[in-house]
Amino acid sequence: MAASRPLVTVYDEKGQSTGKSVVLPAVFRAPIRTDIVNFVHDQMRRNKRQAHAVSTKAGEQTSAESWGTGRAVARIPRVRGGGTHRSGQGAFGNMCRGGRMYAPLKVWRKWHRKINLKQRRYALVSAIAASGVPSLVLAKGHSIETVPEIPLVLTDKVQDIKKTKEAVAILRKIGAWSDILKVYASKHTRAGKGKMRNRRTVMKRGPVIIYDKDNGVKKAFRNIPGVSLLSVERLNLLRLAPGGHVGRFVVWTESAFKKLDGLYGTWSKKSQQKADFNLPQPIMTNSDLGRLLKAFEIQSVLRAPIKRQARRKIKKNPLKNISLMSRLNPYAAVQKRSTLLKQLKGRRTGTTAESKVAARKARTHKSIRSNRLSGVNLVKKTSTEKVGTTTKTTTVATKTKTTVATKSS
Amino acid sequence: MTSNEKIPIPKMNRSRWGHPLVFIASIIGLAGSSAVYYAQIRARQKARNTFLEQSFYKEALELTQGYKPITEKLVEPIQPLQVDTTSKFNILSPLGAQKMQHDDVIWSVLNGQFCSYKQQKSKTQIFCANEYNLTGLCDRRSCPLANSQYATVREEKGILYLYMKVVERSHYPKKQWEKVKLHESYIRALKQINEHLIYWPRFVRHKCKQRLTKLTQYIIRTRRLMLKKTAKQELVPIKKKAERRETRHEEKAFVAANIDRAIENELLDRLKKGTYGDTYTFPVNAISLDEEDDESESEDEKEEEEEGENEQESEEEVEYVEDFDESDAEDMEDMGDDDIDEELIKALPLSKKRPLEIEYESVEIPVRGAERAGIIYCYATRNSPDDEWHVDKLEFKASNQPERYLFYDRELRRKSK
Repeated sequence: MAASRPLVTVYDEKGQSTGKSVVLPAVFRAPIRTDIVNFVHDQMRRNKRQAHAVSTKAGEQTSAESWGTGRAVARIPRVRGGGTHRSGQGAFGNMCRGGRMYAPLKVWRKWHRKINLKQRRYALVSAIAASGVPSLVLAKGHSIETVPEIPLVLTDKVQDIKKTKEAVAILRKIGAWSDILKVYASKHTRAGKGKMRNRRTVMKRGPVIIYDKDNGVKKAFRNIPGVSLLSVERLNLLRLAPGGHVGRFVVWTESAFKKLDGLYGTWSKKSQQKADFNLPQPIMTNSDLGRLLKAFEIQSVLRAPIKRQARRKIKKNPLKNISLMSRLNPYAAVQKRSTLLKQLKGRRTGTTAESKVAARKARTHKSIRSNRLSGVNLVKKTSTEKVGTTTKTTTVATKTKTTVATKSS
Repeated sequence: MTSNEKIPIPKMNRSRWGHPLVFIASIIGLAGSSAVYYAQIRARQKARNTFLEQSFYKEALELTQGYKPITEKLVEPIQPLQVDTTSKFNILSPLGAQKMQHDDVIWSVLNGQFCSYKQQKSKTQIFCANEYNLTGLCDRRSCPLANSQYATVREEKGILYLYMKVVERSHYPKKQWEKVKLHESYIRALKQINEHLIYWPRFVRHKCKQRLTKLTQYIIRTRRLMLKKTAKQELVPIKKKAERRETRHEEKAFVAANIDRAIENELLDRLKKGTYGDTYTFPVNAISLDEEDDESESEDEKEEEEEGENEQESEEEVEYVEDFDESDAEDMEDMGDDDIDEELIKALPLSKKRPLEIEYESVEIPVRGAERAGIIYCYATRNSPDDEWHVDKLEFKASNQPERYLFYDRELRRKSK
């Protein structure tokens, strides 16, 4: 579905849209892999380094010898001879004054890095793709609020301008001037020794102009602070993702924009200018995770979410917890209630001595009576009576039982 | 159940069953489902044909014939899909169809790598400096960059606006935000928000309303404060460093200006001119103000001269140093002590460059009572040229006081009495 790629309108140097539009190159659909960009940028940055080292002779130009033990001095080599301050001073060690440093720097350090071609290309492709996403360009820090469209494509006339004045006018018209004002505002002196090493001022990066044929563009734009210029044929990751962060503000010329498809290929057609290269495959065809997860196809296969998790129950003691006890033994509640009532009864009548005595009397009377009825051995009774009573008691006993029951219930 | 009885054909919906035979067939159950199936297809075909024959369709076709396809606008025609069988990358459209910007992709870049609006000033909270942010926090739902459909309420000069952005305009930064002026009445503004964000996610809608509330309160407060007096005063912060610097500069400037000297000169000028008339009795012409003369002399010489002069004259001459304080120059009443000529020396800093020499033989210093009261004058006296100078202080008391003046030195006091 190459046809599903959108169209990008071409703007003229006055910031108005010409009627023309170009199909968006497939590069802008490539996966944006910031990790690869970061890595490759990091490696690439090392390639411009110049070797530096410390002199091999530094700190070694003495014939110092250690005095050994027994002289009440530390055992580092000391300078021979006499008659000068230097004699007897420590030498050679990195801790000594005037000694050689620890691990003296050598020129044969690995200054440059090899990066795999595919990685390089992947990073570049990601950087280009990111430059087409307005959010990422904004996040990088460019002020593109006044730009008519992203990606911004200008007519080929821009390639022919020769004067910086015209260049500035163009930038103003297309709404990129605010970004350059930001560059002006950010100019400051570098912190550190770079000041005296020809790197005095530091400033932000502005837009990058990518052209196909240089008929004066480079010279026209190069004096404007912040602006970088690149040819499509030789795109530089260090300019497209400065600092290792994707999303630089890019201004394309029409012919440059059209060349991208040929340079990087579309998935269905490989690159014509790079040998055996096609755009990297994304891992997900549809990376809108939010939408995917809500989709019916996935939701229908999932189990229901567990909203309330059953946690471990604390075991409660029935002897202390009445509700639990009554669940186990319903009569327990009854029993408890009766005891409570009894207690309350006693409380209501009061616990005076008289009442206590009376209560005890009542109890004993009751007990005596019940015993008599039940046939418990009482001293006063005769045996005959006993017999008679026993028969009686059987019937009565049941009675009493019931009465007791009724009382307690 | 097959039956030979003829079932009367019931009334049916033509559209649903198609051919009447279909219906019968289904009822009878002849030849199973296949008959029904094919019949249905045929029915559909027929329906389509009837549609195609309709007049409105023909009209539409005519209209579209005049329409030019968008491909003609292109600089180059879209290439037909070429399936390249040679390369191993022969994978078709689904990949090319991947959208350019997915919010999730953007968010993973912003959250993970770099976002210029991200402010992490505290350990607990990350803020977003983007002016369109609803909550002010940096998170997935509030990020205006990572949500292609977003809305905010913003205040400009006391007027509230609703800003909305949709996916369709995401590639046109200039036209991205749709600005709607909200009603002045809070309740109506709420309704407006409900209207405009009717099918929008609940989060955005809710936060917009919250923001509206906050902003209206803020506006009310601002208006109230503006009416107060303090609002008319413009508060300017004090810059410590600048202040320190300025005070030091001021001090230095003060010292450099030599105000004393300027006043000196001014006063002497006035004296010379005669603006004071007879107020001061000392001979004005004796006062020398020539800078050139003085500069030629060295300081030591001057001092010697002065001392010499002092010794020569029997009467007391005081090196009278003109000063900004006129009080000492003024007339004083004769104290009544002839032996001692009291002159005034004000214990004030000498202007070393040009010490003024005023030579006079006798000075009458009239004292005006109340004005001189409380002022302590320092003076020097000596009985004879051979004696040493005796420095003393003299205090004049108020006129109501029994004694008009009081010598500090007891001896002198006794003498005067």
